[in-house]
Amino acid sequence: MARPAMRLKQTKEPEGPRSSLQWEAVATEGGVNEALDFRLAQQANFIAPEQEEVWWSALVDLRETSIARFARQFDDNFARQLHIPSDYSKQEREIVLEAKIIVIFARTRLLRLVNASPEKFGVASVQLGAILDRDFIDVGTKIHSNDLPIITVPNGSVITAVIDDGIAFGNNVFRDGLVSTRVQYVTILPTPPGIGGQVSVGSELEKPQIDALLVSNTTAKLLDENRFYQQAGLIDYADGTFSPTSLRRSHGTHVMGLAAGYPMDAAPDDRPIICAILPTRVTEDISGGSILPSLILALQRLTRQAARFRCEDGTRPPAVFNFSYGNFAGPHDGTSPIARVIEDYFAPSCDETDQVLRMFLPAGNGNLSRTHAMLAFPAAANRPAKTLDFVLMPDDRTASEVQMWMPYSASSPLPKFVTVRVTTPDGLQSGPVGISAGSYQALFDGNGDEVARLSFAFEPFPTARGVITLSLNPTASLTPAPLAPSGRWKIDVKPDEIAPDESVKVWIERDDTLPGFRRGGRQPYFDNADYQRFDRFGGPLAIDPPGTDCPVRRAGTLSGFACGQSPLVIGALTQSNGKMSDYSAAGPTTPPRDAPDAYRDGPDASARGDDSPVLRGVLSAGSRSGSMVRLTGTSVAAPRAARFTVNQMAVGAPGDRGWLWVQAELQDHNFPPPKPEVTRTGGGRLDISVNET
Amino acid sequence: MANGSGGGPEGGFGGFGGFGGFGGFGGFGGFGGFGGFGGFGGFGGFAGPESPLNTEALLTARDGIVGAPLDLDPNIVQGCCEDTANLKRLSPEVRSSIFMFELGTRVTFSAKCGETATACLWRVDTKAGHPPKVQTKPLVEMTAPTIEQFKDQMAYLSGYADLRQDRAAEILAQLPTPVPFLASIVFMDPARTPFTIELLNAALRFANYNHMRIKYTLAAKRPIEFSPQVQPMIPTPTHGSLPSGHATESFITARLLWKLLRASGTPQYQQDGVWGEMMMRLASRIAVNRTVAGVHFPVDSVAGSLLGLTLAEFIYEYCDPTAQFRTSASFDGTRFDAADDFDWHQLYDAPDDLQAKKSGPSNKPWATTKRSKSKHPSQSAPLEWLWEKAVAEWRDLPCA
Repeated sequence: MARPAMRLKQTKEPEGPRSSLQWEAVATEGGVNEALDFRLAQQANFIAPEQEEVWWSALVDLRETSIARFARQFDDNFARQLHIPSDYSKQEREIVLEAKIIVIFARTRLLRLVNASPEKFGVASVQLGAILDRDFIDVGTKIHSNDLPIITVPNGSVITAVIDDGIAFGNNVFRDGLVSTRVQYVTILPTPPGIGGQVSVGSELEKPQIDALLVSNTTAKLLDENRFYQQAGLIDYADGTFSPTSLRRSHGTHVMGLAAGYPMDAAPDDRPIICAILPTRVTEDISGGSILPSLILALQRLTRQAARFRCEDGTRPPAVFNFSYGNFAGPHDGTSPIARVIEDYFAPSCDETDQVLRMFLPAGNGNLSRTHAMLAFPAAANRPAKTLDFVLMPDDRTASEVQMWMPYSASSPLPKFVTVRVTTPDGLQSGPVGISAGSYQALFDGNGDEVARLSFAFEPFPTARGVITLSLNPTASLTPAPLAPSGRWKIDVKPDEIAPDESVKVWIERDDTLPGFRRGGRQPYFDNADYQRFDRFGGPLAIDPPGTDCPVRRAGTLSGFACGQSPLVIGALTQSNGKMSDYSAAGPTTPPRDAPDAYRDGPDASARGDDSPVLRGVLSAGSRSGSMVRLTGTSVAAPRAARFTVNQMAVGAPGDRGWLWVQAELQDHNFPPPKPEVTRTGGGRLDISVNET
Repeated sequence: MANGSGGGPEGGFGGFGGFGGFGGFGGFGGFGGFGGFGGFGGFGGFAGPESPLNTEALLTARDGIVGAPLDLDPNIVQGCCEDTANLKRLSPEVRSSIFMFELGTRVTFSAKCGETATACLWRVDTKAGHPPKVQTKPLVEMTAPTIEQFKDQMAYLSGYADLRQDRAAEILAQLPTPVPFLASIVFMDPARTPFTIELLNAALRFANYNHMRIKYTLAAKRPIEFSPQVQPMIPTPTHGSLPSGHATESFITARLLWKLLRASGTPQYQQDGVWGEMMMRLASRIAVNRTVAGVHFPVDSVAGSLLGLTLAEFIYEYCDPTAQFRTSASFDGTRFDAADDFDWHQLYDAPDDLQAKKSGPSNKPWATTKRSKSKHPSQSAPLEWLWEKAVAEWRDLPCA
């Protein structure tokens, strides 16, 4: 939908300053995900007009259909706008599954076609990934066959699989000799096709190829690491993509160093590594760009590679994955696309296959980010509306999004839980958006361009929950573009049929720029006056004050990735005093539809994220061999726990959530009491030295 | 540069009788201070002669004690002519002028303008002990890439700009001379290795003397002239882009140091080339940092490193009387694939201290070097003297 179908009456403007902005109610045919439609429509305003229509990565949630059947539905014209990654084998493409989330590459028009009537295509929902450079997609790649040669490893081996950005995999902590790597396989997603491997996006290198690169770039026993990564396709200064491995400190190298790094001269032969390098910056993508399609491709590739390994006794070695990424938004009930995809590979039922896979995730660093609110409306004669003060930052060059998730209800139509109105910084209030599709509130600027949208959508099974989304354009752009006004917005949520024991849970999507990267997003946050930020000593308050009325909460900030049933989720603690690090995000999570209990109350355990309150972070490998750098966050706690689990699984431990919980309870005694609350540390505090082998 | 005035940013060096000469490089457009070694102010006790306070004091002191005129001693003898024994009584900066003369008079220059400009540096060979009979042979020939190639290389400027935050401290510290960075690899210090530092500074002056002339001929535009989006993080120097002066200087000093270490015979410097390799990695990093800063194209570093490596060999010929080979090099920028980055490994092999005969595609190399046995050894007694003093600084001391 390029333009609204029709415009209904203009809402009454409240008294206040005049504004060139204007809210309008826009009628739709229903069934369309308006938040997605907004993002697709807005992208056109932020790219150069001469640029041809963009390609996106996206997730489609297929229902009762196969990948092949989905792809066959498009006529020739549209078929050229779709590419199914070569990672899906012929066999996989033919299987009809009840529900399966797959990655596709598609142009905007095709995605809008599917979003306009998803059921027609056997699709429950579409989720956007990021804009891709057309040159990075190789539509001519062959579909994968299932046969890959076996990799034999010693008995007792455990594979470490790392998915991250900027992994300097040539670092000597991942080698067992000057020109011999422990990395059996690496896939580099942000590289043009043609270097190594045969995949739709990115490249693949196996140990023999990596070793050959090590040989050709080593002189006088010194590896020319810049040249090594340039030849491996990871660094290319000329094509404008940016790899953190060209910086001194890179997230992926640090994380993989903690998970699987060993001194080169003491490298074990039973700790093979496989890894996937994710894209870091998608050029010209103002939408924030979701990493999910890349993650799913990475999981697809790494699980396929993990299956190649055999111990000498013929058994398959277990594999422990680490994915030190997180986000803020999502339903937080374990039914998000990422949670579902992780379950596809790591659910307990998968243990019945003959390879045990585990997945470590960080709890997230959003504890103090003020990006979460819980709105409950106790029983009373008169239940007043609740207001969230929402600060949209100036100079935010990427889109922002607030998601308001409704309680679950089995009834149809859904109860009219609440109605939501949004007020712009200069005082213009929108009309109401309630629990029904069919119309949305659009904010138009003086030129008649839409800059924000407030809309309702029903997130289909298995989430089965309504969500009201406030989608906002960037507040700054270097070229003329329709911008959302920055400043203090108000979100008013008025209770209607919501029960006193139910609540609306609100998350602002993550939109910040990491240090060392070109500035893009700036994180919006809630700024309600009754949010108590500091304790009585002036320090940051890491736990919500007991009995607080403030809707803005620390409890419930757990990463939207980490709410599923099976992953092992790790919070961060400060080693010197045994306290949880202030940023380490907290549960609880929401029970999935119709279930009495949530999949988890928070992380499963916590591990060292900081050495002490003054020595923030922990040391691990820098990008270049021989260098050590400091990095903080739950991102570095998770791989420490992963390393511990790898070593314990090598001697027979199951390495599942129950086991980890018990380990955490045991090791918690090494720290001073009291034990932190379960919503932040799960079973307890793990006390792990990475020097242990 | 006036001999005798210590001056410059390191006042303390003035008293040492001449390390102020490092400050004098300021006049050469870029070798500002040898700032890293500024701590040696303790030698400042002997204040310079130009101090008005001193002059007045010396004047009145003489008046107080001079007495009546005396007869001259008839036994005063003449100084030794053309004798290196004199060198040790000269201040280092006086010597630096002599070394510069020794090197500067051994080269001459020509230019030609074709599709792009070509600069030719010629070696001037004379027979030792005879009046000069000028004979020139090619030393370095350098042809600029085309403007289209420079345009293509612009892609690297935006890519490398992402590293500025990571490299800013290095880039600023590397503005003057590479010597303090080399001193972090091999143990150099004004107190410990004064003659090595003198040799490196002679090389830096000579490198500057040559690359400035070549840059002038080639007149290669700087990245800042190609796009308003380069926005370099340091001021762009007014001289031309190719060859990179920083590449020339960092490679000439790295290679000369490597030659000193090799000549010293000290065991640890003989192991498998790692010391040389490490110094080349540093030289390369310094060169690349200029692209990060936004003032050079990668191809500038290619040309500069070739020039620096070749001039190091040229200086060495005059330093070591046993040197038997002479090396000439040619860089044809129009053949360089503009899609390529700078890679010093294509030009030089550190473990064997040898330049590559051909760099680039074998049928169409963009750089070639010729190494031939010289019939008449190049000679410069002052440079030989300096070399021997410098090599001695790297020899292990015999135990008593």
